Amino acid sequence: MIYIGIILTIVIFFVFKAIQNKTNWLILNPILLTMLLIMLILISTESTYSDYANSNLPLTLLLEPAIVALAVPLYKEFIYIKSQLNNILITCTLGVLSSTSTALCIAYMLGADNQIIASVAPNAVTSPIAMTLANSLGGIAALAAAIVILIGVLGAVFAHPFLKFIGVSDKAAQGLAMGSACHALGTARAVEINSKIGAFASVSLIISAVLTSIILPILYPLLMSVLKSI
Amino acid sequence: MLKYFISAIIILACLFTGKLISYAFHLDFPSAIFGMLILFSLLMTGIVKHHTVLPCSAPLLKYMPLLFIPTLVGLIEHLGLLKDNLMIISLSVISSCIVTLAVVGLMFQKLNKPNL
Repeated sequence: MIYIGIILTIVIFFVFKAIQNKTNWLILNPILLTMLLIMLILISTESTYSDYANSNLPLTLLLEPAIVALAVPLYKEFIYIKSQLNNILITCTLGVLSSTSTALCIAYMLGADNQIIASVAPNAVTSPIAMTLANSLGGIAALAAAIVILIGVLGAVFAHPFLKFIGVSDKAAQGLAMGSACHALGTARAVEINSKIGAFASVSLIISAVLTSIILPILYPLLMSVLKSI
Repeated sequence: MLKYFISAIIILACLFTGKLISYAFHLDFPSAIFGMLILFSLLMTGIVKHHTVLPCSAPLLKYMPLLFIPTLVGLIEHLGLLKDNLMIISLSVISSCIVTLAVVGLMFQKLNKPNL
């Protein structure tokens, strides 16, 4: 019964999505809940992950075309923010540098091995890109994606109060920060708070994702060799 | 029907060009992101119009979460690793998130209001 796995994924996901749409609680993240429930089902039925993964191959194969399709929202945002492009690019580049190097350095100093470091480094980008990046750096794609989603859930709840607490009152700045630190889920929350915050959050979400994919493959080996030589 | 076909072909062509470049130059850079940059430059230069790719790009983006759940479930094979490194991972990731929020928020606020 090769189809069971893929049917399971689709049905469970849409059920949790419907629940979230009804309750509007960001904590009830359908991605996270679907993942946990399927893991529980696999464990309790003593099924192997490879059987499940094979059954879901059609979905997994569509992920790369979906990443390519991200060019469309990027293009739309680009026209919208043209006048502030320079400031946004500078800020997002700084954001990418600080998010990747902070995670990488702390994980290294706490004695993590390369696999873990490569999985935490892309923590500020949207999950499908974090997955491809973690993979190409020698990390664990699943771990990177799970980290990203957990951070997004936390960020959706705490990011806005935190920003106000440290004195960031400008709406554009709040949005930009939420998009680059807490990616898609932060952006979803930002859209709820205010449409201007939301627009800037989706701009920085997508620009940070592109910048991280360009910067991280260069920065990662560089930082690692610097840290190892200390 | 034809418009779905055309937009699928454009997206796949970008993806395979990305893969080809990655492969030809032995780059570690994720090839799907190459593909995205190629499509982005085609859109910017106006070679591909944005409504031409829309029939396939819209549903792909809408259901993207569904597409990475199977990979995410793969975490099941690394639960031991996750448990051993839980402290390290949470500390590094949460501090990274806080630092980034502060850096981006304060920086953009400063750039936008140079007089303050």
